[in-house]
Amino acid sequence: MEGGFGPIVAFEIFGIPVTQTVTTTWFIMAVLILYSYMATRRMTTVPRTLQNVTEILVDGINGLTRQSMGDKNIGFAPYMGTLIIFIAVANIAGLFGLRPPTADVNTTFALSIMTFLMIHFFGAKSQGTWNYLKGFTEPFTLLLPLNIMGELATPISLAFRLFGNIVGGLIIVNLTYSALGSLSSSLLGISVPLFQVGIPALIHVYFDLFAGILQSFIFAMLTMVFISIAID
Amino acid sequence: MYLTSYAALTGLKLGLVEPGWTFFFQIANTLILFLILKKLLFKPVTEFMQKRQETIAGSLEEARKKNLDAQALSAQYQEKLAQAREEGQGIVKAMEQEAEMTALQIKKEAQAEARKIKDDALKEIEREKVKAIQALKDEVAEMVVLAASQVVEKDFSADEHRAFIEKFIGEVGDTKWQN
Repeated sequence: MEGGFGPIVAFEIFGIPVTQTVTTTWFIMAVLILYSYMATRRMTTVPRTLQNVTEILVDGINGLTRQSMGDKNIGFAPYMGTLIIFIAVANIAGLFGLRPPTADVNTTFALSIMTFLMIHFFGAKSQGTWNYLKGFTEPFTLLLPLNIMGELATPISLAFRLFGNIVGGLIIVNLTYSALGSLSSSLLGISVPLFQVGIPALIHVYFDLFAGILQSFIFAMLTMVFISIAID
Repeated sequence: MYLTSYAALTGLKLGLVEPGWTFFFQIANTLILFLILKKLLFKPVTEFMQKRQETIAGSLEEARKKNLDAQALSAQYQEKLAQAREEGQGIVKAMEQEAEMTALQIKKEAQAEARKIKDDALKEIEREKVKAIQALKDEVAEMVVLAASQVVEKDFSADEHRAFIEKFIGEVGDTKWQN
């Protein structure tokens, strides 16, 4: 890789650069919207293949939300589901040769800042703004700066956890590919990167599938937990 | 910052950790995706599953109710059936008794009839016998008179001796003809 592992600017509108991250996100959005449309177009009482998968997915997300936020907060399920599905698909994008949008701090910070805003908006909404703000001075006023720093640390840790995991995987996969490429040319003496066939599959399975899906769950679970703590 | 040099932006590789416009793009993208998925995926599927759950619960409840009804009905029918069987048995028994009684009566009547016929026949026979004896007596008396007149060779006046003869024959007849 030349010039590091950052995203490439795909094009620009009115001088605003649109990076690979954004275009890949648009592609993922298109796929997800198309999937949603296809899955819910003709729903039957006895579900068939696609509907089965969709029902398991939606039911799982509803169950997860109900489990970690309680029955009264089931309204958060669509947002949490969007988070899980989007982050999971974005993380897996590496499998299809795309640069994962989550390997960009802008994406992970966008998501974590939204979580941050939701935590404090819904916290203030359910407890009353004054009561909520007073909560930062507990157990005593001296801890106010610490409490504020702790709150500010939440989005940062959320964003960098996801970013670090995915970009780490991206870098390792890329390094493995170039290592295997140069190995095949130096060992076999041919310019065809033969060793790149098959061997990176394991690394993809771990970094893209396992870590990717795990991180999407962690991000959504933490968001749910933080919001429900703020609400209670 | 790349924002200062617009011209050569396309194709440029940005730094690994470089905040920029992408942040706002991604917030907008996430919100749009959330709204669309909520409307297109989460809401319809959740509602659909809920409706189906209610339908299934309703069907199960209905089935349970119907089952109970069926059981009650079955018990009712069985009771009715037992009742009917009992009734039927009663009717058959009554009929049998009646038939027996009728048969007995018929038999009695028949016996009475037969006895009557027999008695009548016996009476008739008796009558005929008496009649026959009487006729015989008359004939014998005549024959005796005829014979006696032949023997005496005299006009044995039948009228004169008839009473005597008849008395004689009558005495004889009563003892001898009886056998």
